[in-house]
Amino acid sequence: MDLKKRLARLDNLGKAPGRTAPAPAGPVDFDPAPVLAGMGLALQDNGGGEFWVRDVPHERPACPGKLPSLAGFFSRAKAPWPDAREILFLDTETTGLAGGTGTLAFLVGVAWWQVNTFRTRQYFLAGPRQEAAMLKELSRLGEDFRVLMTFNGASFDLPLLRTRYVLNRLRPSLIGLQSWDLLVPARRLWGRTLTDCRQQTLETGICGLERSSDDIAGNLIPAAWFDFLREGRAEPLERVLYHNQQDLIGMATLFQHILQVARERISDPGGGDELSWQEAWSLGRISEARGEAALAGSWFGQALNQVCSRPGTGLVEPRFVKDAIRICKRTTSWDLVAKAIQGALGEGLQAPWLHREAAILYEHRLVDLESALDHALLTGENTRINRLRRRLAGSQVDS
Amino acid sequence: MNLAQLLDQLKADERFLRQVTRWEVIPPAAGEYRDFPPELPEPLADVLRQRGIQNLYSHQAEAFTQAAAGRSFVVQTPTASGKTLCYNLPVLTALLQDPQARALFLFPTKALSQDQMHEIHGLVTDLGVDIKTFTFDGDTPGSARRAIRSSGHIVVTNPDMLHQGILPHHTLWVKLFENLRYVVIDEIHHYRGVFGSHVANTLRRLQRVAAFYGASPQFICCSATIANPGDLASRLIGQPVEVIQKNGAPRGEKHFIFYNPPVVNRELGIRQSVVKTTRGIAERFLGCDAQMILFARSRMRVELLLTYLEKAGRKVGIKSGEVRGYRGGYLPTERRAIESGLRDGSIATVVSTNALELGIDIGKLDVCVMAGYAGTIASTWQQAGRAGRRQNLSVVVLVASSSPGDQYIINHPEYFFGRNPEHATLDANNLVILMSHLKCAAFELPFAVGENFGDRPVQEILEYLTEQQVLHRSGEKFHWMADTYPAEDISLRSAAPDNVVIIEGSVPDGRVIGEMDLFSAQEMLHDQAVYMHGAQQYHVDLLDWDRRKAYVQAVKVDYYTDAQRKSELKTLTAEERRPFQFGEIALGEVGLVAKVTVFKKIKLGTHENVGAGRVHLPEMEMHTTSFWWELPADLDEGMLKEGLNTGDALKGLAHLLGCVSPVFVMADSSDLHSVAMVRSPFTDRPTLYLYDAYPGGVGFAPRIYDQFPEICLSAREHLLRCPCEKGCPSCVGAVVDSGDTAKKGAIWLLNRSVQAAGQV
Repeated sequence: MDLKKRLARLDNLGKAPGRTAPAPAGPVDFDPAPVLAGMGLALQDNGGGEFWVRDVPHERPACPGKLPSLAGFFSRAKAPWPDAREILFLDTETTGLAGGTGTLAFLVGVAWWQVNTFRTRQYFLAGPRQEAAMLKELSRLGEDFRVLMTFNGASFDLPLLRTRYVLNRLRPSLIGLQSWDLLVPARRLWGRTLTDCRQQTLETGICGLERSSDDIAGNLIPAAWFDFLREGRAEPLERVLYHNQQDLIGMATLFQHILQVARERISDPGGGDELSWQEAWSLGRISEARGEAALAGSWFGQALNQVCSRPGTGLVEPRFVKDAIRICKRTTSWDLVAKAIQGALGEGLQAPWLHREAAILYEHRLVDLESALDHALLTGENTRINRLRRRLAGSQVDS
Repeated sequence: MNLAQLLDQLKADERFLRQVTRWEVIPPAAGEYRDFPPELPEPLADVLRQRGIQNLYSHQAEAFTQAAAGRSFVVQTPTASGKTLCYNLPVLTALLQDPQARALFLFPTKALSQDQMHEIHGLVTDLGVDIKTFTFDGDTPGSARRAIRSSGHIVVTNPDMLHQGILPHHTLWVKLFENLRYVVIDEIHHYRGVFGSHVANTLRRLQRVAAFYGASPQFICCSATIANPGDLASRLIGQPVEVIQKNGAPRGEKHFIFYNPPVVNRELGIRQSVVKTTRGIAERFLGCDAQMILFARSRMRVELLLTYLEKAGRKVGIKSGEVRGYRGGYLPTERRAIESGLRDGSIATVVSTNALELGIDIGKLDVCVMAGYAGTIASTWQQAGRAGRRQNLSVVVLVASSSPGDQYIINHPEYFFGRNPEHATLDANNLVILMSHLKCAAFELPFAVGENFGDRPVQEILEYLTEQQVLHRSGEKFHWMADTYPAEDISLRSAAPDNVVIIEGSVPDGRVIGEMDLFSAQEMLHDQAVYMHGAQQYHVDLLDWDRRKAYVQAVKVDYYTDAQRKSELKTLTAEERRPFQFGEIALGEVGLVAKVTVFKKIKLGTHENVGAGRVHLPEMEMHTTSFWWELPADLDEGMLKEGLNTGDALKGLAHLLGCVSPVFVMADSSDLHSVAMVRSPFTDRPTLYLYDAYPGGVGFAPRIYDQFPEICLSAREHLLRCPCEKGCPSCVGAVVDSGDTAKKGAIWLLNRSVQAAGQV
């Protein structure tokens, strides 16, 4: 028995009874060039080798120009703030989501504002051997930019690319740009109101963008490339190109919405449409991270006003109550602190830290020692309990 | 009374001697010493001198020389003969000379790596240099991983982690691979059979990745007693190795006593139980100021012996903390405490399963009592090796159980003392295992056309995987082309990693006291079981099977529980079949079902049965590949005429084929199981099954199916040559087990099958 037959037999035996292995596919001979040209891709040779490229200019989103301070929105982003034209957007389509060295990016989409045009450029591999030349090209392009903008790139696209550079024995110079991950501000701003923070959810829920039926579901993307390599199938691949391009446009649009908040909304708690308590909470947290305590206080004031009139919302959410107490203490808004603590207790929130806050409030602000002791007893903190007992005993002697 | 006096007393004890079938005295040996080699860096030599080490044992010096010459080697010397210096000295020397150099240490279990960490840490601390040593395993927190990857000079891990966590992410370990000087593999005797074949392929991947970064590390292997350490090591790492076997450490006189428990029921030939007998013998040693280890074959027996010895110890003034149990299922901290207690002498006696047969450092003890034969000559010597200090007298007592294997060994001591320990083998080219690892390897780095995997040409397999749409050929390379992570689907070991956590107390404030694998949990942690842990009894209130938790309450009762497992082999489908000279042979799928249904309550001390109960737990099922031989339906008649018994013959033949077949397919004897059925419900005939002991199978059964005529020929030859009269563990099994006519019957069957082979 020849080796391949033995392998097939072992494969079959190892499977659960009744199931058989897929019929082996014979090699299909085809010329990828016309298929790819039909999708608008052009063959490029940068001296290191060949790969395919497609450039498309878009009217929207418009260029936002000079950027405002984005402190508190992106982690680790800091002044001097670049011009929007110094940002390179990047999104990869890969052969899997599992990570590790065996996953590669067969399509790398990048985009930037050139004067006022939003330009997407897609680098496509007609086979794994085109990877090295493409990675070199990507590094070269990166030299013209200061910021690399991704969506969830910090945990997915960038580590994956870094691995690809190492495997191809190239210096990962692209990775040296400042990395801004849109997932971070998106979570901070809308994570509390949207069902999830996937890019498409944000596009529909925040940007009002809709994808056409040309899009492809993310889990089908690896197979689209495999099918192309094996049989030259164009149709699913065309959807992947569309998907990747829409991802880039979606990222830039989402970035504009973040900029709008950073430019106007965040510093104007009184103006505009009234926001939900969760949005006000989010803006309060970001203001706090920007070091603007007073502004944070107003946002939490707004949020507290809403939750007090709506039972079962923010005051049953320990993290909100904690944030509100911390911020309002810092701005010495004692009535708001009392509102938060009493409101949360009124809603039945039970936790040692809440009773500690209540004990402090009653002892020092409201000077109601009996209530303070009631709460202190629920914290188990003996120093406070003993002090309150002494004070209570003293006040009874006095009266 | 000291140990020597006790031995004198035993020698004069007629009743004791009546049960002794062999009293072997192994004479003392002087140590062989060498001066520190001139290449040993002075700071390292100083650290050794501070520890009172003025020179090296000959095997340590030999190891250092081989390493310095750039050769890979394997060291096989007994437990506690200073084996760790054989690798720590070369590795630390390399790291002192080149601060960029890196070393990878592989241990089969987490517990062993912990142990080694202590040792190396100690040396490095005393050296006062910046050599960073880290453990990298499933317990390593994510935050520490980055530092380990980039700055760990010595990374201590296990093969499973190398396979699933390190190699598939090798780009994160550039520093380690670029500078990899040494790979240390301890306890290589574990890497045999299927597990060994997996590890050998993992090491092929390691060497391939290292080569990508321009490194070709030297390998240092260590092994416990086996017949062929050099052969196993070179199969494991895929290159020739030097063998260092001559032990230079001194040893004292050792007495090895074979003891068969007395017959208590003459009519039925029943002997006193191994637990009771062992208890009696161990109690005699308790009073003589010697450190003792007892080995028992099950967790239950460990706990029983522990309970009895604690009680007996109190009578002679030994505190309960000085007698301890040690087995799988104890928490790591508890185990560490026991190990260090044994080393510093604060624990006088330990009762253990074979968990302590491993290279865990507990120092040397004076007495070793084995409650039952360890199953192989090699394991028995490993357990016996726990006793025996450098200078002093030591004693090993093997107490036989009533099992046929034990009874054979105890009545034929020459079989044990006259034979070499078992061979260990592995097959890196086992197709199923090789194919699994080729997938992982292709995921890690594309294969070039014509590239070998280790020394194995793999072009055809790569082409097959390309046809199966797992790989893609682009130019001169095969690339991984699937959206999966292959290492995740491939486990190096057969045992499921799942376990049951044992919680004392009620749900919210319970305290975890231990854990147990699923298989054993069904036997020991079912509802109403009395579970013993460190000689404390616990009643199992609830086994929450779905959540993998057992809730227990400490109790004090005078019984324990013992559950019975029923196992069944079901034939599912026959994929191939062909006629054989005698009957037919087939290849197909089988299901092995194990279920615990009832348990008995047994009184402590007397071991009387005092009640029973039912267990309601789901069946555990494993599907695998099996070969089977269907014998003619009228077999009985033919055999009866010759005065033979079909049942005996099949049982004997199953035992024989269980010994012979692994050699043909390069498996460990535990990788293949054999079952004989006088009438199989599937075939409706006398049938003999040989199946892969791994879920899904690893390709042994098809090879047995293909080579069965040769296997029969060889089995017959083996049987005819075996010097025993009616059967022994090396052929058809002991007579008490397989029956009086097993050997004759097996020969009768094989004669018929061999005629077939002769005609082929």
